[in-house]
Amino acid sequence: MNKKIQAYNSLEMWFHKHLIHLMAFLIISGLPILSKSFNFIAYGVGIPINWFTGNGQTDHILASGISFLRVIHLSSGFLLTIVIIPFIFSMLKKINTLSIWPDKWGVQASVDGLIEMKKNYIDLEHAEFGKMNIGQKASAWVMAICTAALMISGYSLLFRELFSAETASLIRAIHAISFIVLAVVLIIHIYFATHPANKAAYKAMFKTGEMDEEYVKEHHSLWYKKLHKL
Amino acid sequence: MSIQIKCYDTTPCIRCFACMINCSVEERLRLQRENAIGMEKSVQHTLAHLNHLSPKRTEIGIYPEARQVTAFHHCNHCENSPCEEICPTGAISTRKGGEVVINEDICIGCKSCGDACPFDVPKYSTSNEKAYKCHGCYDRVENGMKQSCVEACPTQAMFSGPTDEVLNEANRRAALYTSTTGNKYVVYGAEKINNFVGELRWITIVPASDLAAYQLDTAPNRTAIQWRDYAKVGGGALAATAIIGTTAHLIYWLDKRKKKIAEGEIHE
Repeated sequence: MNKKIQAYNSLEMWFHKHLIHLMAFLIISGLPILSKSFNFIAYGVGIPINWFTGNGQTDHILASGISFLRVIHLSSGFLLTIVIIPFIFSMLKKINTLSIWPDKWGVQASVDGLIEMKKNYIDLEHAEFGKMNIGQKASAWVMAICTAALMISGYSLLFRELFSAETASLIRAIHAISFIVLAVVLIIHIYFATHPANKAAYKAMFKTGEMDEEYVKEHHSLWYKKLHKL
Repeated sequence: MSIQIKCYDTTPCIRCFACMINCSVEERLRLQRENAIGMEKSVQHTLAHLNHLSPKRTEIGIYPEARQVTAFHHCNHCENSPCEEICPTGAISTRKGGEVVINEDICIGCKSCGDACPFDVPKYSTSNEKAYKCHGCYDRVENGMKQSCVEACPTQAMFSGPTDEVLNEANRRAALYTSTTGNKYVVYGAEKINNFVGELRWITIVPASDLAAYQLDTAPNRTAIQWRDYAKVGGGALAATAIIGTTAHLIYWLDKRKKKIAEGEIHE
């Protein structure tokens, strides 16, 4: 039987699963408020609501949908806060050993990291990766910063009476811009997470939490060396 | 029906506030008329959302030349109405006469309109949990009547009508005041102010030197809301690029992998 290496602990897997469905609820419920292009989501929700409540006025459908989606948005945001607290504490506990820190600092190290990514994803050749490659580290930072900005601005908007209208509009812009950046990074994150080349990492995150040692040795050689202090 | 605009002339205004009072009276009559609320109930509460004209009195100049100025805070019924643009439920719309109105039945009280308005006009009422602002008495105007504030004015400091008619009269008055007093008078809002708000449907005749005292913003804007709009367009393009890019990469990767397997460089 192949020797296993723990890639993710149970808390990380639990948090990631809940993060996915709460983010899905937050995105679906937030999009129609962000842009009229996504009004179809609100109509999709508003039509059954109006049917169940017996409200026959068609101009109320969008408002019914948005009202319901606002409740979903606020509830999901609140649940995400609850879910994120233990995760933050667990990350803070091992902050110095997290994989999101660069192995080496500087421009040359970043260029080398990008060259390794090109080798792996463009040339399909062996690349020297740690537990996370430079793209994963960058996206993890962007996602963490954007999520923090979204949560802080989201809670601030709940108490907007404390701010001037000018400040409230600035907070609203921060909320929207953070989401837009996060959404673009999420598309790339989801693509690489479900990419056939990353089957082992996907299985580790969603099923076992572990990876075969042989796989780690071949695909995450720098991590393997670090684990075995080679 | 053509676009109807209102004009407030600061010179003949005697600060009697009849406009403000008639506005509130008309709103209370609407409560009785449309919501079948009895007269006693409709007049006994000081409901903020039944007042759309707020006077802001300031004193300008230094004694003995000091004088009082009463600025009115009200909806300007912007041509490009940022409140309407941001409203997620479509509760804000522009009527055929140009009045920007909030449909209370559809408003969900999200306060987005307040964030977008550069004049800080739409307010949230805690009594009915809706946003409220002047609706330009569109119901009266569409039935051939004047707005309640205009009707109440005893000195013709407020007048309204089709755009050309009102602009001609406003420009005539501004020219007359300029030639009579030697101070330059302008018609604020008559010309497009900027792309954010466009032209205004509530214009004001005012000495150019008193624009700030009358709280008439010459560059009304909500920069953050514009950033948000740019980000929406840019974000859409970036998201589309990300989807196309990742799909293209997957096709490329599968093809390259197939070739590498065929060449024996990698194994399935």
